[in-house]
Amino acid sequence: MEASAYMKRHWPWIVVLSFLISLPFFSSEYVMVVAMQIFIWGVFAISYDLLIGYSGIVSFGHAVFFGTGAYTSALLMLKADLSFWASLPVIIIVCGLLGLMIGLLTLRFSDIYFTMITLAIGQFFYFIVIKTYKFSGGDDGLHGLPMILPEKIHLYFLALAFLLLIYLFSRRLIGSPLGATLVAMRENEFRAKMIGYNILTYKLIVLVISGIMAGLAGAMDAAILRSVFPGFMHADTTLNVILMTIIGGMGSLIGPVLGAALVTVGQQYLSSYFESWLLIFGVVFVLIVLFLPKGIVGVRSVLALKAPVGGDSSRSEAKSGVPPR
Amino acid sequence: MLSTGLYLNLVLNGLSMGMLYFLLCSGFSLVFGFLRVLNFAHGSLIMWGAYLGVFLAATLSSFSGGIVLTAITIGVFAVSIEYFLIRRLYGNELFQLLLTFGLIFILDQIIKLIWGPAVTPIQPPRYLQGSLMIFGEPFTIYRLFIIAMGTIICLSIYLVFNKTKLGLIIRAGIESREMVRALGIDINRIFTLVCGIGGVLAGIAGFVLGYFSGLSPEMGINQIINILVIVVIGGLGSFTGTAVAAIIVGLTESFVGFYMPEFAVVGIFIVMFVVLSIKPSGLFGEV
Repeated sequence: MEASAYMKRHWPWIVVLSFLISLPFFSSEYVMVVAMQIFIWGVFAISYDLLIGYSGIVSFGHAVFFGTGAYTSALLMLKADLSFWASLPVIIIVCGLLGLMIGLLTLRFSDIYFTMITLAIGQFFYFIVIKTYKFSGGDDGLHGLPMILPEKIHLYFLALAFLLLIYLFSRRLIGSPLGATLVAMRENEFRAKMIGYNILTYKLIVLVISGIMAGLAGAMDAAILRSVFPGFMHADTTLNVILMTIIGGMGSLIGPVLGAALVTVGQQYLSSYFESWLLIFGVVFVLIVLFLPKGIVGVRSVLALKAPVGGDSSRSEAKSGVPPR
Repeated sequence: MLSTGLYLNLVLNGLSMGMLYFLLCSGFSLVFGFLRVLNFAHGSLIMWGAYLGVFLAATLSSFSGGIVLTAITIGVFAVSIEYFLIRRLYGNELFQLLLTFGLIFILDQIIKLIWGPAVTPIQPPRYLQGSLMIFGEPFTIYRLFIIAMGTIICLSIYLVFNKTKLGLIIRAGIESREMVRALGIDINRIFTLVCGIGGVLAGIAGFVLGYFSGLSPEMGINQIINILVIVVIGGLGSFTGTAVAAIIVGLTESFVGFYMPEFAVVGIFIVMFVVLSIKPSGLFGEV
């Protein structure tokens, strides 16, 4: 592609990226910290979108992976004197196995079980963290994690690179045959099964990938805050990631990142004026569920009355086509 | 070895917890069984029942008046949620899940806004305070009241289900909605009605719970988790299963709490893991 054509097609990306790259050179440290939170929550929301938006699996306990990643990394750094980088492969293994276990326990029966049980498993892990005080620091969490990079600005670019990497990886994943199979399963699980796809295997694969991403996001968050709290595991963390994904627009990968930005900024600024800022987001969430199923990234296609990108506008029809039991 | 008195005490404690769990789960299980809607906001409805119940009982200065008025209010509230919100999304399970989940935010935050984030202990009326001696061990009267309430509600549900025309329609609807509709019954009105019954049950359960455990803005999310686990153990869509699982979980918690108090909060999850690994569809679930 020619350079000018490339510019023409991708100019919004180039503008946004140059803005983000230059941001730390003119902004305050506070803005930088908020931006890093957005990047990390963006990754977490992308991992959630892979499940809910592309595979149609609804997890209400995704914080389990986020928290497990954060605690694994923090414990390895504090108790085993490993470096942050050395803890990453361990996180990948631990979160991958966790996803496999949860999936095997619940997904083999039905998706509804998965949805119900993930909420319970999330709270189970939360209790475990609170109860194992000596090991996990209980309610207080773990503090004083070493700086993983010498300067804050390095951390900023690490977080930005992390988000870009996960985003590009997820796009490739969705574009791959695996991604196409996932979408086929979401649209009509029964038909996909009849064609000969092993539904459970594909669901487990996507759950493991999503779990690993969320775990890495948790570890990054721990590294940036230099502490972990049991709140990482709490249902509120799951609530936040669901808010981000749905408000931004599920099944679009970029939507959840926008949602992460909106919710994080909203939380930072609204919470100082209005204690119940979550109420506002709750109302927005319900309105979006009722009237704007593709979130804010779907607004454009609603306005232009065009078929939304991804071609899953038929989802509601496909679902309602299932005869009631 | 346990003395008979202590053993009986543990069983009674477990039974009272089981009955409380049954009260909490019954509305959720009924709504799921009939509408196939997982109402994640059921915990929040229960919390509203608790806060509103304590408020109404204090305003009316009547415990029994409070429980009736709470049940009616939460019932009407549940009907309006079904009529204005859930009804728009029949046939779209994913968005129904998300909608009831989103309602948790709104309902819980309004509680915090009105009553504040503090945890408030609540005393039951004088005639339900104190304890009785049963076989040489003290047993709180309020727990006996919970067992009585659970039994009354369980019996009423059984009678409505098996002895009335409405119960007949509901049972038929659980088997096959299409058939009920084909026989000329306006099933949408039955949907709304069942949601209302679910709300009434949530109101009663919340009222009983509020006077038992006190008020806290976390109780909604905590209870919905207990409810989900119990319903999964009992088997989705089986009302009997829910009742049996509630009693099992109550008894387990009572005994685990006595022998290993540290693990009392996770006892319920352990029961779930055991049941799911043996019978993935739950105790009474259809496979």
